[in-house]
Amino acid sequence: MILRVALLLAAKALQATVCLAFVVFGALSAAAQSYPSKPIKIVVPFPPAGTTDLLARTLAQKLNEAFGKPVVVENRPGAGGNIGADVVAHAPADGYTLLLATVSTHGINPTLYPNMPYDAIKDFAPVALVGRVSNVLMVNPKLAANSMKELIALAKAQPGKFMFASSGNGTSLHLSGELFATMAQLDITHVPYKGSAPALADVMNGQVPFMFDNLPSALPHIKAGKLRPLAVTMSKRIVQLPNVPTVAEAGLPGFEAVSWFGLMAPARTPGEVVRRLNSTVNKILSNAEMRQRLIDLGTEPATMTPGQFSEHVKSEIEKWGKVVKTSGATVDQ
Amino acid sequence: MRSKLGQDFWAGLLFVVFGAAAILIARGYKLGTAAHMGPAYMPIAVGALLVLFGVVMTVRSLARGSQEVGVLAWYAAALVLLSVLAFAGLVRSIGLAITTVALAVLCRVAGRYWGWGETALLALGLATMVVLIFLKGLGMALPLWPGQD
Amino acid sequence: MELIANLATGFAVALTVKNIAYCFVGVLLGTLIGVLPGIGPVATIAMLLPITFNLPPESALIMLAGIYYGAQYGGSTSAILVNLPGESSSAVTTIDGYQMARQGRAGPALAIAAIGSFFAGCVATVLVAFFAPQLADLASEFAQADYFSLMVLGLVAAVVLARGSVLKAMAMVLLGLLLGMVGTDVMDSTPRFTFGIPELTDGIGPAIVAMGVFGVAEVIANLEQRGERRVFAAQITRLLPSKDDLRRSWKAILRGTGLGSMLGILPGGGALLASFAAYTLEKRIAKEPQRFGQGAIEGVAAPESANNAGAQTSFVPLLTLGIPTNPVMALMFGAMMIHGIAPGPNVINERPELFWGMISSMWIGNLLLVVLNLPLIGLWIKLLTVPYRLLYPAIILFCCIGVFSVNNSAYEVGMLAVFGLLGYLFLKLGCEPAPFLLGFILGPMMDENLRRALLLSHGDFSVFVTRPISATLLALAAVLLLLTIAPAVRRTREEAFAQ
Repeated sequence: MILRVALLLAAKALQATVCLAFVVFGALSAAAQSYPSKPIKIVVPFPPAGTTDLLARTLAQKLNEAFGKPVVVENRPGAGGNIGADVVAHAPADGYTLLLATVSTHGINPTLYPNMPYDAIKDFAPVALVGRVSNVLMVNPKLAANSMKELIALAKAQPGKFMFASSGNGTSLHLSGELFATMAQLDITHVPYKGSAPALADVMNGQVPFMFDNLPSALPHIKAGKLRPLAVTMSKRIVQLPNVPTVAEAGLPGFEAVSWFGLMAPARTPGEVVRRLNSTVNKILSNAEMRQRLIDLGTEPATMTPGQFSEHVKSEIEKWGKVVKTSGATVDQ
Repeated sequence: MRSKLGQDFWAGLLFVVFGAAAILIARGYKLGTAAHMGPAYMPIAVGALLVLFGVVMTVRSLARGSQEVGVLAWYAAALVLLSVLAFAGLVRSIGLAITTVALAVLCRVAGRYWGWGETALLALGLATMVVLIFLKGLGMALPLWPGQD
Repeated sequence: MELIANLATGFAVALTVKNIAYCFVGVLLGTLIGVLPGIGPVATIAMLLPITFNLPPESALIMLAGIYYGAQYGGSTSAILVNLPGESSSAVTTIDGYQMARQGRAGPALAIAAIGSFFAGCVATVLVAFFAPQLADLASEFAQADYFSLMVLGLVAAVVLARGSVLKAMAMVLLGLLLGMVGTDVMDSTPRFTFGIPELTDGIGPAIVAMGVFGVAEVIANLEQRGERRVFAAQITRLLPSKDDLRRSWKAILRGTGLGSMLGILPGGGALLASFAAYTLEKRIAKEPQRFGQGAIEGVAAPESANNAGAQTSFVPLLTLGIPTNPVMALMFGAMMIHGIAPGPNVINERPELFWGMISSMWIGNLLLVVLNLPLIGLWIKLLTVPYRLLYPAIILFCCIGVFSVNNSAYEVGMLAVFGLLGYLFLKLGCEPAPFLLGFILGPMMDENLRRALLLSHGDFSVFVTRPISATLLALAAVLLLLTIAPAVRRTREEAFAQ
């Protein structure tokens, strides 16, 4: 034990100035009482202004108010989220470098990428779930399918020729489509795009009959009547589209595909710090104004204890792992 | 001045090397079918054209000559590139302020400008300016001093 | 009449003291980051996004939009003065703009860039106000096959940019294409030429390539001659364009504005494609094309008008369809989301004050920009008198910070050194960087759209000729290619006969 502490201290001293070593020394003894004593960094593994980034920035602002310490967001995009997640996996486990993890970094990628730079379970201490985003199954309004059952029938009539668009290979939207195809026993062709905007454009002008998209980017087009929603992928209906059934209700019981976002710390972050962060985040999420801001972003606020979140991550990796394997999708490096 | 081993000769060679390397590497990718064109298609086609153009240029230069390349400024090139690499390697660990000073000094050495007083003023001036603009003004995610990342 | 009422709503929002102030801050900031090489509007808007959280949505969007089109104004300044495009859409301006500066005509070059930008900005704003829905419909007519053909046309046009050998220019386009393909391929997720490096899986950023082959390479080449290439500040004769300059430029400005407005609404290229296309058009239809590359003022007027018009009209798909067509528009999309506004067809009806306020602010912004930029010309010219021994470390520094700011990645700054070296080799071997950069940017989009078009057509190649838009674009590309190659072939044959 003494050896470990000494080693830890030596490692810290190497990379920090004397001044900083003081803080670390303090942090080791006084643990969470003084946390946070300096600025916290939330790493977003995706580019600015996406849903992940907007959530992180909204949360950072509230954490700043709660802690009275600056909370900065740093975008480290690349390799489907793996670059940013890797940065946090190897950051000091002191609670000052956090990751806004998503269904990609901690659900899909562990199976999709054969050479992962980090271990999604062993390298992280799950802190708190923040929100869940439903995906929506949508068709071009001119398509002769007013329900999911009719869409399935149309697709079955032209095996191998029916197509669906997505925001890219291995995204949760592509895999929602694959899961849909497997459960409905369809032979359909995937057409990947670079991001969801061009995919939406091609479904709207009729090049591709249908697609799954995240609620936030899909909602304006649904409201404008440019796309027809057939089902939502959560296990219950959502506030923004109360009249649209879930995929399970519409005929594929057991179907659920949710994009989620949560805060993670590097593994071995002191339990006290994790609990402090968890209770702070959960308190922020219970605030009515914050909940409305999240709903405006198309996100359903959701809370979990660190333990529940940890279990959730394990079950997500297992679930998406199966979908990735059946779909045959992979991204080598 | 024209030379058989002039600009076009070496440029042609550069194109042949890049084109050939692309073909060799892309052979490992899927070629696919017309409906499902694989990732190998375009690199191989482009690589082949590049090799063709490169060969034509090289041969043409050997036959008719092309403009001389002239002397390469290896010293300046090496130090300028080193200053860029120094920025890349140092900025996260020692912060923007000292990195800027290091870059400025290396750049001045690259140009063989030995006025050290001027170099010091320039380095300090630049460091102050970028810290004010990028860290204070725009709030860029970079440490200012060592150990702040 | 409805339009006048709408514009009245808009100006009521845009003309409040507060919003004029935000507009001014936006365009001033945009001009500055446009002038600074390396740091672009994407990184700036991304970094400033959190500040706008606490502003009213109109003010936030007016300011952010100002940064974008302000950067298009500023981008020409460093292109003309130090041969380094402040924005990639100004890359083509370096060709004739820098030559003009070397001839002591930096003043007229800067002035014509500002005047052209102002005119284009105003016209494009009118277009957006009158025809936004129609323009949006036009954009949504474009299918995958048409995009492929547009990219082909763009690549052929890149060859026309060449000052010297056509063969070399074609090879440079191809080399650009090849390096553009580095990264995970969109269609099959195969990592191409990534050598197992995670940082390469999303490809090489255009900023790295532009800063490397233009910025770093140019500095090395100048140091080789100890800055002696840059003693041209003393010969400056006049600050404003002469009558002759204006006579040569006005048609170029008109054509650039037209082309830029059209291309700006299309996804992918936007302002960049617009500036390249406008330059190509001018060179193609010029009576003395050999003047291009030697300091032809049309070569500055046309692309600078085009990129500003393109920047303005690229708001159309975002505001009317909710489709962001370039990274800056994706950021604007996010900025709207954070204020609880869902970008899309309903914005005009649900938030008229926001929609029309933004459009009106663009007029005001363009006016502010021209008032801001014309007096600044004198100041920028002074910059030329700063000795090069003090200037070049700053250029290298801004290139490094600019590249870093895109993805907060030190690795990518390292790659800047690689492209600096490559760019220096290009210079020594007489290979031109502009066709290379265009190939680099358009190449991967061409590959992606070709393969997606064929997937959608079930492998039927005829889509490229049966769709009218695609067929027209391909025919244009073929004619342009023939017109470019024929004289070169003839010349070669004449030389062969002469020997």
